[in-house]
Amino acid sequence: MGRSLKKGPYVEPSLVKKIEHMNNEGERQVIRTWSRRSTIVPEMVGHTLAVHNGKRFIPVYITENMVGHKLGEFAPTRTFRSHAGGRKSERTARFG
Amino acid sequence: MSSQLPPTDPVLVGCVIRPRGIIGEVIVEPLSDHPSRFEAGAELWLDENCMTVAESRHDKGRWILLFDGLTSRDAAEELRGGELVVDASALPPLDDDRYYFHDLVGCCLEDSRGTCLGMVTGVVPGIPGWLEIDHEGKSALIPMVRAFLREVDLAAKRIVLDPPTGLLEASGLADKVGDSEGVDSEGVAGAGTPEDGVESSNRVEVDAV
Repeated sequence: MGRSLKKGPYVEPSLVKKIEHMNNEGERQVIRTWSRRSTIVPEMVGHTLAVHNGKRFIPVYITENMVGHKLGEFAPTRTFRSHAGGRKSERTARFG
Repeated sequence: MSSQLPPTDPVLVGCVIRPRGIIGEVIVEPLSDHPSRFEAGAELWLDENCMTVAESRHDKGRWILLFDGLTSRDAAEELRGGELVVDASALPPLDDDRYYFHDLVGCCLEDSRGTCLGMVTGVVPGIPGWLEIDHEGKSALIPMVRAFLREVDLAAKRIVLDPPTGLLEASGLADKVGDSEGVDSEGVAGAGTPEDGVESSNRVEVDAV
């Protein structure tokens, strides 16, 4: 069941405070947070949040496409190991 | 089967997981981002043999392939666990902002002063993904964002990082606050300390300022 629209998306209040402060000051600093349940709101776009994955902080650069998702979705908690191991494969990566 | 020479610089494009059905089809885990790699007519190498794809279809993130000359499950069973490769010269060129994983691995991540911060040991897929950096025996992740990775020089095997304040500390590339250039250990009040009255699972910190 979805969250009531009346309440709006949940974002950790202290995180909102930090983001608003940086937006007002025009600063760009990495914010460390444990709040994986916080929803990504438009005010966060362009900032980098270091989201804890249970072991360490994963730096996440927030883009417009992420708005509406939770921070935890972008900080994987499990290590992905490919079949390729350390060998050359045809997998590619695009810079965001 | 073809009489061509095996690839001198093999690049892995897929792994045969297991046979499927009774007509000689196999299920292949793709390790390639090119959709045409497994289309009918494609030539792939497996253990010194050049195999031609006769039929293919995509299913649940994997490919089901039928190779020329394979007509039974017993024949397909022999391919189980096999690795499909092509020669590096057969790889198609990429767009400006797209790189092969193996080209990025081994690059030196440098800051703007030319100091090596660590070596790229892997690429973690994601949105947009991370470069896995080996920094003094410890692993660190740097987001693959053009805003941070200012220059990628594959010929010289170097990537220039222009990090925002606090990224090096958060990712573990700087040992302590103040290690990186331009970072002041004094500044914003409450930096590096948990919020008062906030549970530990919800803590938020502004890093390294």
